Amino acid sequence: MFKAARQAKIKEILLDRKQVNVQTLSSLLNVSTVTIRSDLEELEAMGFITRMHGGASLNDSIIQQEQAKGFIVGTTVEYDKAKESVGIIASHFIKNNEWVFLGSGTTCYYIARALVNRQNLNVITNNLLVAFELSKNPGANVIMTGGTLSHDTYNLGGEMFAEYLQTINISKAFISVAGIDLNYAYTVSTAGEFNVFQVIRRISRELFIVADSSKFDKAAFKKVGELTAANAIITNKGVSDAYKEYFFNHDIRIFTSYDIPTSEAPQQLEDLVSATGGRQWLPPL
Amino acid sequence: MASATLKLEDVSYAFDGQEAVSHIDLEIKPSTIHAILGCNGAGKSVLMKLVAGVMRPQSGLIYLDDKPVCFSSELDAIKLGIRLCPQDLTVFGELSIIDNLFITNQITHTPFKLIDHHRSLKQAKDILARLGINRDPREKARYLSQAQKFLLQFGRAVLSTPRFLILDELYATLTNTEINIVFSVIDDLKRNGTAIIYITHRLSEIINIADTITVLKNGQIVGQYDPSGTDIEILTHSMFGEGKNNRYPKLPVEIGSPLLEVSHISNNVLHDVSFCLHEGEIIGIAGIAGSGRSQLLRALVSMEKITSGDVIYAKNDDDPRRRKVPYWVGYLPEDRDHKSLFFNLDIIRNITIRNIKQSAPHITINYEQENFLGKDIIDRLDITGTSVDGSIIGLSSGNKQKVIVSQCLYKKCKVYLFDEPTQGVDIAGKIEIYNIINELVRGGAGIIMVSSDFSELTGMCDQILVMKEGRITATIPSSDISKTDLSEFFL
Repeated sequence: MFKAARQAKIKEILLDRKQVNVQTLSSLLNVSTVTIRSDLEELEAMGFITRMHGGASLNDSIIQQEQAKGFIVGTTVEYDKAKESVGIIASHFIKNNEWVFLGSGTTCYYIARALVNRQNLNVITNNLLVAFELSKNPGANVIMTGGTLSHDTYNLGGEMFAEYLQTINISKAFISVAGIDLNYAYTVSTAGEFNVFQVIRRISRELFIVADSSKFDKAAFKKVGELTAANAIITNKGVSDAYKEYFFNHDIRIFTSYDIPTSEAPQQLEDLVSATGGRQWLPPL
Repeated sequence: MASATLKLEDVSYAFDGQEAVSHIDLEIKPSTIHAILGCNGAGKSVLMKLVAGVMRPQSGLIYLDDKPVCFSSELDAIKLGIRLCPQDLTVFGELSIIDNLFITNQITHTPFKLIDHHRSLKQAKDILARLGINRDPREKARYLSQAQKFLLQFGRAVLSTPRFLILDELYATLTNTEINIVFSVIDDLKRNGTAIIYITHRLSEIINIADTITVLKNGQIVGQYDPSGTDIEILTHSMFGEGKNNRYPKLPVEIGSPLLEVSHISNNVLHDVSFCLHEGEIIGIAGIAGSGRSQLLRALVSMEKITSGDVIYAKNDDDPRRRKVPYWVGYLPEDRDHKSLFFNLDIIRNITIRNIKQSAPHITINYEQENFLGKDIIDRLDITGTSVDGSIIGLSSGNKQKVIVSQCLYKKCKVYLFDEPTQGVDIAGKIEIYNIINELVRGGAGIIMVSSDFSELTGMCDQILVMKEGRITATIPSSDISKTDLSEFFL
């Protein structure tokens, strides 16, 4: 890994955790502690962090800056591991130079997050959170639809929305729903979302439903379509067997993410043991 | 007799609630060759077993000459002139050829029902000559070759002069001359009023010989064709349908640098096998049992001797010649219960067994640590069992497979060699295994997958190697996989 990329990664980790020790960074990035220390020194010189014994912490001013960025859109999205993994899986389907639609909801926001380092993207969205996240990526060509703003969910919808999309074709659409149920099919919670779903289904070649496993076996206000309306479902582990079987038998791909440790980032045994409150029974040799 | 027809009305049969044959209506007229097409698992063989009385339909009726019939055994069907010539060999090796031929319908002297050896021998000689088997009929059947055994079993069916002959797939190793003999015999039978039901997936020959073609898919009839008005493309299309591979959750993953390079390896089974596995790639190996597919996997992990050629693992720094199998190669054998799992240990101990060292930092195993790491993986892979004590015995096959994947995960494997990963696993379990495979390749692992389920291979793999008699006879790149019918390679 190159120095710039490594330092960017360190910044990312620090923004996420606020404080981190050298050992952890070294194991996460697979480089020696010496390298990490020299990186931290440079980052300190930039005024990004403050070094301390065994590690480093994010400078208060940086934290405030980040929060201010969040206040621009008026919200900070709460971190959700399940949705993040769904977003990463979904991002694999987005090919370069292909027009995709990202719909409303925080799950779609996480798709956008997974796309931040990609080039040659063409995204059309009605989700302000998505647009904001992709504004960090100069390699993404982003178009916002027209429409009326829904204040609590930061989405655009309504008549203007439908009008705007009349002459547009998209190859893949990612839409989240509020509920998936074998009896009630896909459901959403507002009439506005219902309209968006109908329009998108008409103009997209492939429809992906993104929903973490908590959405299953739930029904919301309005049904938007049969379970067979989608081409693929992207979710995380913990979906009951009945759904897996149903979707497989109806030729619909169902993707469930698993959080599998990769061989690159070995777990720190000592950390894990101390986390359980365990102790070493034998003195080291 | 010439007017006899066989009619199926709304016939269904389900295994464990999963319909193998559902609501079939079919009519078979005398003096015709009725071909039944379908890919693996379409329900062809089950349907024929229902007709031949091997199994009884769970609902629906079978009519013979407009009278409903119910067979309590295969013998009942034979008495009514319905004869099944099955796919697998049913020849008694220790009996003579003659006895094999007449085992269901002995030729007898009229008054006392004693076996007429003289006539039997004469008829046997006739039929053997007809089938091109140059053997004394009094020899034991085990001295015949596999193809000859199949012909013998076909001869047995023909000798009983059936009104309905069901031919379930010609034996795979028949030569062209032998196939032609079979077809000429079939033609004679047809002229004498016999209806032939021919099950196959060899499309090309069907068009020339069949009178009617019925296509089965997922236990249902999806089309009936007149061979004069159709061609192979239409039939293939109707056999596989549009979204044949769409149900398999294949995640597009970027393919990285090479992990494993196999160059020209040979041993007593394998001949000159070469390929290269990359990070993020899934290679499928298609082959029938005995084609050397399992031997290949074992050869990759040095469980089988290689007489020439090289298996080179990338990044294998321990060994300058890079022949040694590194720790990050995981082999997941076909026989899960006996070769990968320890039934006297609990799930956690089964997971950590391939890498005990990890939880033994000093002299002894730190059980607290082992439990923590094991539970972590159980939780990540969502291994759910019925047993309270964490025993491996109560797990479903899908969960057992997940435990074996966990063993490799715990060992931090980068190459996974799956032998039949989803055999005997229910649909939900399959979906889970496919998605775990997706996550593995997403993390940069390379996977080699041997499977008998061809649609699974075409659905999940980036590249498919077709294996026959220890050789790779064809390599299908990802761009062609969706258009390829793997079964055509095994005709």
